[in-house]
Amino acid sequence: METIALPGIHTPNQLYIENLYRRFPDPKTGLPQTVLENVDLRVNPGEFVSIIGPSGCGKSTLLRICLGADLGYEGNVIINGKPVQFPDSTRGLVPQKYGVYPHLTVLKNVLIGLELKYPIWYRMTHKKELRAQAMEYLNDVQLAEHADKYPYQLSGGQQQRVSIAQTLVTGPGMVFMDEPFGALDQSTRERVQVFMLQLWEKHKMTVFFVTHDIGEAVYLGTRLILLSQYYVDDRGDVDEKGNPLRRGAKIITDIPLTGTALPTKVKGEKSFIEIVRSIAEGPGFKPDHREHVRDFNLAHSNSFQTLTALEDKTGNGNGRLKKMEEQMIRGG
Amino acid sequence: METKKIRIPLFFGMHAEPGQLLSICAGALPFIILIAGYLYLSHERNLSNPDEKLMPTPAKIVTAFNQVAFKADVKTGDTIFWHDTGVSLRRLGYAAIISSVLALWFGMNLALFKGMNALCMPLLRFSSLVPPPILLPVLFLTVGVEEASKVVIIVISIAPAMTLAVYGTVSKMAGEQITRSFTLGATQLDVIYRILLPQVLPRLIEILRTSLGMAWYSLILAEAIAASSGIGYRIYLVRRFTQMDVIIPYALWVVVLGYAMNYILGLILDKCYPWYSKQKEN
Ligand SMILES: Nc1ncnc2c1ncn2[C@@H]1O[C@H](COP(=O)(O)OP(=O)(O)OP(=O)(O)O)[C@@H](O)[C@H]1O
Ligand SMILES: [Mg+2]
Repeated sequence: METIALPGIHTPNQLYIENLYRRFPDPKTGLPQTVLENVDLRVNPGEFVSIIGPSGCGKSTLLRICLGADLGYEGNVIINGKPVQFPDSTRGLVPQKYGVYPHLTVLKNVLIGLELKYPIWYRMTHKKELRAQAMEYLNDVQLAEHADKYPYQLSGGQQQRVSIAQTLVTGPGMVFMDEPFGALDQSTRERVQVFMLQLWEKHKMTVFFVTHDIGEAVYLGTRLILLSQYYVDDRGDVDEKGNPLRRGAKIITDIPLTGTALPTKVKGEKSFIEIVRSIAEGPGFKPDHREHVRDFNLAHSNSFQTLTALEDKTGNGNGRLKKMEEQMIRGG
Repeated sequence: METKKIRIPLFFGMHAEPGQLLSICAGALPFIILIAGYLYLSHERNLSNPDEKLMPTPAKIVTAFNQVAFKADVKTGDTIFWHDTGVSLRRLGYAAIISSVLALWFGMNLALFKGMNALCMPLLRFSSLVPPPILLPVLFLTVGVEEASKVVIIVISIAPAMTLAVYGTVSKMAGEQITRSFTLGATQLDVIYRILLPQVLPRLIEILRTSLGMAWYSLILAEAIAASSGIGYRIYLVRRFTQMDVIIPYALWVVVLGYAMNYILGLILDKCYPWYSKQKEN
């Protein structure tokens, strides 16, 4: 597959994915089964990308690939101008589960991020500052009074907040968060959301935020991506051998959101509710509500789609980088 | 309306919840029966035959025990009992330390480095299946019957299984936790020494604890076959003279030692790694 040299993909904290496939062997037949199918995505520094999609569509898999924790993919994944590297401190992770170290207290769990970042001489001379910084983050996730407890003494939601503080305290340029607020009750969740937005306003890191809560996705993000295996294309419904075709997930919706941190009360507003409702009832969430690849709502200005000749027989959608090219012409 | 809570049975059935007192009494019962039975039988047998050796009375056991535990041996000047204990514990101690170090080092390497795994895993799986007693004659022929061979036989019998246990623990921890550590800026050395090792050490203590039974077994076996001192040697030596009155206190003593070791390791685990036993509960 030829690649096109794209302008501006060497910027730090930028992500560029083209023709990404991920296949896993089927546990029964051993045949490769496509989980991610020809995914294209470009994310600029400082974007807050909310990722939603039905359970099992490959959201966590996509994050693992971007982190460099899963190198079994095909296609191009370019981060910071290079093919994706092994996991390092430029890309933070808040995992779906098992986030904290069981052998460290809450404070030490947050401190270790800072300790690993700085060389030993700096750690020795700046003990107080590092500690204060860790405490500040713990305070922000409402855990200051639990600083000396071990993770086993915390609830699931509290552990998840430690995990969030642990990652964010290191100040990564890109953060990958996999359902980070899933275990929190409504009011805690809202406070941590605000904390998250404040941090993002301050540092403008690139955030990838997976969630099952469409309201949360719309509220937090500057951009909403819906990943789903429920769509149709020109391949028909059976493969060469006559078996039902199982498509891997694609980005079937990619739209801009308001882009500024809204006060919590906006959630009650009509337009907000309207967006959330239209997404929830739109294509992609139910197996029988499918859209054709040519009709995806890819309104975001960074969005592009490279369809194969099989997926799109008309060739209309196959103007590779349809939107990107327009943009390049417009932007010079 | 007054409702009555259902009654929880005390002892029988799956719903039973014996209280603390009942549990202690129930646990003591088999011991009491055993001891009482022994006392009765030995008393009966001693009445009919004052030279009874198979079931000595408590008085005879105490006399024999005094003899070995508090009287210095004419030849060596040592008291036999304490000398045996010291020798056996030293062998056990060396073996425990060597096995732990080997298990830790190999277990972590096997789990973390695929190349290491490819190189050593087949041999490890092979050696963990060889019953140690088979190796005894080989060892005595090659290493000789000195101290080293007894330590080696214990190490051979517990180290492979301990290594596999450490390997399993680290493999399970690896993956997600390592990815996460790298994203926090950890180097490979950080991951090993700051993240994994502190979590493996308590597990190693637990593994050692469960291996102690096997270690004792091998020790007694090795001492019985080729040694000139030690608990196993003594028991097998006096067996020739049917000195049950010596064997019984030795056997009880092994139980006490085993219990004490288990207790001390448990204490270390609780004191140094308070999070360890708790975290598995949730
Ligand atoms: N290592 C693997 N081997 C085989 N199949 C895998 C593997 N990892 C993921 N999969 C498959 O890939 C698909 C996507 O998994 P993934 O965990 O990315 O889903 P997800 O979108 O994060 O779901 P959820 O919202 O439930 O977390 C699933 O069908 C899963 O069975
Ligand atoms: Mg997931």
